[in-house]
Amino acid sequence: MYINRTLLLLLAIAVVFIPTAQEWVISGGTAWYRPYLIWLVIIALAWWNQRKSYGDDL
Amino acid sequence: MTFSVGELLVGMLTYLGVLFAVGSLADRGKLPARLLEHPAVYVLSLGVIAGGLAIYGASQLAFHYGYGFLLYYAGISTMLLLSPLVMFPVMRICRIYQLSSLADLLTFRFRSPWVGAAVTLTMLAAVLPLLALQVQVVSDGIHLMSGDRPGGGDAWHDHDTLAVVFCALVATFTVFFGTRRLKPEERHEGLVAAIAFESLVKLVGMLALGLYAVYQVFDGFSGLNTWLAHHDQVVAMLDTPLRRDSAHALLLVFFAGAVTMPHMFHMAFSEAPDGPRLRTASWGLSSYLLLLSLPILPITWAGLELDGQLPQVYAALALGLDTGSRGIAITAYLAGMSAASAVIIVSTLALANMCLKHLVLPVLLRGQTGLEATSNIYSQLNWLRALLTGAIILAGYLFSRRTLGSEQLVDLGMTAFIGTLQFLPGLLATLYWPRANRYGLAAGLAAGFTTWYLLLVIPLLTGSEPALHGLLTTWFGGDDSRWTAAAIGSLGINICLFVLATVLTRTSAEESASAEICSMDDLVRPMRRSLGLASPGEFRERLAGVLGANAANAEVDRALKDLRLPAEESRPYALRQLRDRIEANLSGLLGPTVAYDIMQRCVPWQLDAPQASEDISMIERRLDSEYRSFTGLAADLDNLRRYHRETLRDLPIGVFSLGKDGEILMWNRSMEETTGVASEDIVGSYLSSLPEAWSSMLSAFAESQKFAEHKLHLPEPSSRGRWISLHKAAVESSSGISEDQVIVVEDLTDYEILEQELMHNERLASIGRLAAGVAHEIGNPITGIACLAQNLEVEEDMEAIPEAANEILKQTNRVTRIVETLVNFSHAGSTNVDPATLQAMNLADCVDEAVHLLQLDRSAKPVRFDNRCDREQLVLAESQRLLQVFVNLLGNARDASDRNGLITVEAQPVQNQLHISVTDEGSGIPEAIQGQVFEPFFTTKEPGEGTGLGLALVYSILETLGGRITVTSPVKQQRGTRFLVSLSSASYGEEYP
Repeated sequence: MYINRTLLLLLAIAVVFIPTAQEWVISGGTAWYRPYLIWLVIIALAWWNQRKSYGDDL
Repeated sequence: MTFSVGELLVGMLTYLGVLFAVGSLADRGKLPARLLEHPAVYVLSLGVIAGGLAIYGASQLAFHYGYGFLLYYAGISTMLLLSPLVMFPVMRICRIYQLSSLADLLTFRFRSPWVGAAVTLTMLAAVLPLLALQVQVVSDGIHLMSGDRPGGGDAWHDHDTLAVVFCALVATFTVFFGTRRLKPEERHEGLVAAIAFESLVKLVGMLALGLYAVYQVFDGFSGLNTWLAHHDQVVAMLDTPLRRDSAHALLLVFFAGAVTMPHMFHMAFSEAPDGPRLRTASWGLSSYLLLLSLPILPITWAGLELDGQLPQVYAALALGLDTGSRGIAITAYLAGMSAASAVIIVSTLALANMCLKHLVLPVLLRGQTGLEATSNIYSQLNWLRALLTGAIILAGYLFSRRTLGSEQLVDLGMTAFIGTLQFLPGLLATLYWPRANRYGLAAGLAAGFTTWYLLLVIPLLTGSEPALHGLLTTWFGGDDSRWTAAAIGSLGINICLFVLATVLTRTSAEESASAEICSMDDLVRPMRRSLGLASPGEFRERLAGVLGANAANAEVDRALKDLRLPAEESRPYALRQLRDRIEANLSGLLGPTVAYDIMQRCVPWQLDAPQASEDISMIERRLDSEYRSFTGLAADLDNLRRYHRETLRDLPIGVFSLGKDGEILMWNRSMEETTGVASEDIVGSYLSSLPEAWSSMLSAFAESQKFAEHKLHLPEPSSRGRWISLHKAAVESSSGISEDQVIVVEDLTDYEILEQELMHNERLASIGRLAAGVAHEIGNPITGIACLAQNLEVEEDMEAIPEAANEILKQTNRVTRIVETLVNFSHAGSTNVDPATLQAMNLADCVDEAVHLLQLDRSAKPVRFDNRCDREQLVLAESQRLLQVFVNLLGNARDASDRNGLITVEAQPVQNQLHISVTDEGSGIPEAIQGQVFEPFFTTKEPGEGTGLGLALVYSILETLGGRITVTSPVKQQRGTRFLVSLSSASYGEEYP
């Protein structure tokens, strides 16, 4: 099975940081946009990850 | 503020008219191809996943569960972000085998028509609530816009006619743009463009509503912050669901829905233009969902602030209606309608395809009725699909009438998502569990769906408490967690029974073969099986029996075109590919079950053929296409494979390998140059496809027990032909059994031509050395003739004249014999001997003639030749070449002998051979160089005295005559050399060879 290594690394990072991120979101009070900031970071990482992949590996 | 029914109808017709226009323009190619092929269009088309639940239901979720509403978007986004784990493999299989739905995929993997039927039926049951939700979104929107309010009595149901009109129009759109193209590889450009357009409408609408909420209701973001600061309970509610265990379960539900929902599956895999677009979607769709969800909280809070009469679920609609903004109200109405219509269109299309392929066609084709009776199968399929589309939309509408009202909007959506969650174990097992079998899948689905039905569907339809309500409340912590209970409960039971039933039952060979194809853990090892067909024409004949002549021709032509194969293709390898391609194309058209059945019935694999071995070229092609995805050790192994392949390919000697069935598996570059046959033209064929001369030579060698053949002559019309040496070895398979063979083809032509030229030079040198002797030898009789002629001039005695003439004739004959001997020697030609020219010849005469020739050389030292051969002994040889052998052997012996030395030639019969020895009394050959004396250019003579080719020529000639030669030295008293020649003995009157 050929799993993208960067993806595995990101998953590992996500597992480590999820509790911290969750606390950060909850403690935001009126800063309701905090989940979206995390989401944006994830999208940026996904874009970066797919950008360096090339070829037809599907 | 309200809208009249007429206004709403006009709005609906206008919107759907624009949708038709977009679809129609795209279908007719009026929209720029660059636009339609842009990744953004594909990403927007995937926005179909955001249906009525995302537009309206999300507000209710946000109201009750705060940030919990984001789980809907986060689950879908997570699946896209993790697409290399699930979506990429699914897309790979779907693209190769033309699978267009989850039912296709599971049927393909578990190889049972019952699986297809079961998945289709359960999918229908699971998706009906989702269709009902979309119908209800539109229906409720019409009611609310026209001023009806929930609980308004009969008036609430008065405007359902508009909902029916909406359903009818959407059904028409689906039939018009979704069912007309049957070829699986063709995208529905119009459908994709229309769905992308709808996603754009949703997004723009929601962003507009969000901005309106922030700036009109709260006076900007600072106003919103102030409002939040004064509403602590709202801020506190934001964190509510994240503190509950249900978050993970719901995340899983939406995660699975991104693949198991039929509309998402259809847009992601069936309508995907190519693979890399899915990679773009991994971040593109996440971005889209982020933007779509961004306005949800402001809209929800605006609904709270306005405190209108509308249910919280319709906060978006309330924004315009309660503030009196017609534009905003219409925007919210259109956003909801676009979301609902997109889901209905694509879901219905996907479900209609599934019903057609897995419920209708298997029955029709099994009963041998219907389709095959007529020639136009495509038209009938269109009609069937249109009917099914209408029926499914009608079912969705009727289901929506059975539900209890707008408060159940979210329940409908959650019921559908948790229903399709039941396919997740099957899907993951398809990719990652080769041992899984159909019994496990069926048991898991049955148990999971029963649980789902008891816990969610019955309460949804009847309003009653779910079964085991008390127990579930205790386990999952409250009434709000009923979705979690249903999701975890049904999925848990599903997985347990799936595993249990799989472990207890046997996985069939068919399933194992499919599992190998689907599993990402195993390297697919395609096998070379025999078809027993010789041409695409035979495919046409056999398929015509089921598909009709026209459809059979069309499908074979399409597959040939896809594979870029000529119509007269006959290579087994290509015909195997053709069969697979036709099955894949039929799978897209009729479903994998029917396609598999048809191909098994019409073009079955030959079971009595030799056991097939692995399809090496197919494995190579697959590895080549996937090499970029290899990392670490796999990449190193792949590099090593490439290195070895290139080494083999560029070897300066011809190499090819043959399968057990005689199919050519590999053909290197040197073989291409030697035979003039390109690798791509011959790989996958039998040896009989080669030019006749090559075919017969290689076939005979491949079938023989010999492991080597030396210097075979291959006639070629345009040249002197080729000389080929062949060697072969068995190739052991991974199981250790010898199956294939590798054959090395050594082209000796250049070497042979060079050798002949050198031999010719050696002969010319010999003739040159003999020339002086010949002149002398001819001079004597000529002098005699001249004297006799002078005497005749003056001869008067008539009786003496005939005597003189007779003497002249004798002398002339002597000259003729000398000349003939020389000409014979010079015309010996190449060392190769045609077996047909071998004949019995007198050994002693041949030795005499050789001695006679050597004695013509006056410059040579005088020696004594003693021919002791029996005058009756005959050998099987070719006269001129045997003469050359003795001239060279005796010449060498003379050179090695002292003056007046004795050279003896003797012959002894040994069984059916003659052992002829040529012995001299010379200085002998040192033992150290005895092994080299037959090598070309090896000589112990002074430079200029010998070419070093004499004994090499002897060796070569004897090899072609089927003889042998050995050397012994010293022979006697540390002197002398003996060459022992072995040749077959012969007798007159017998046929040779």
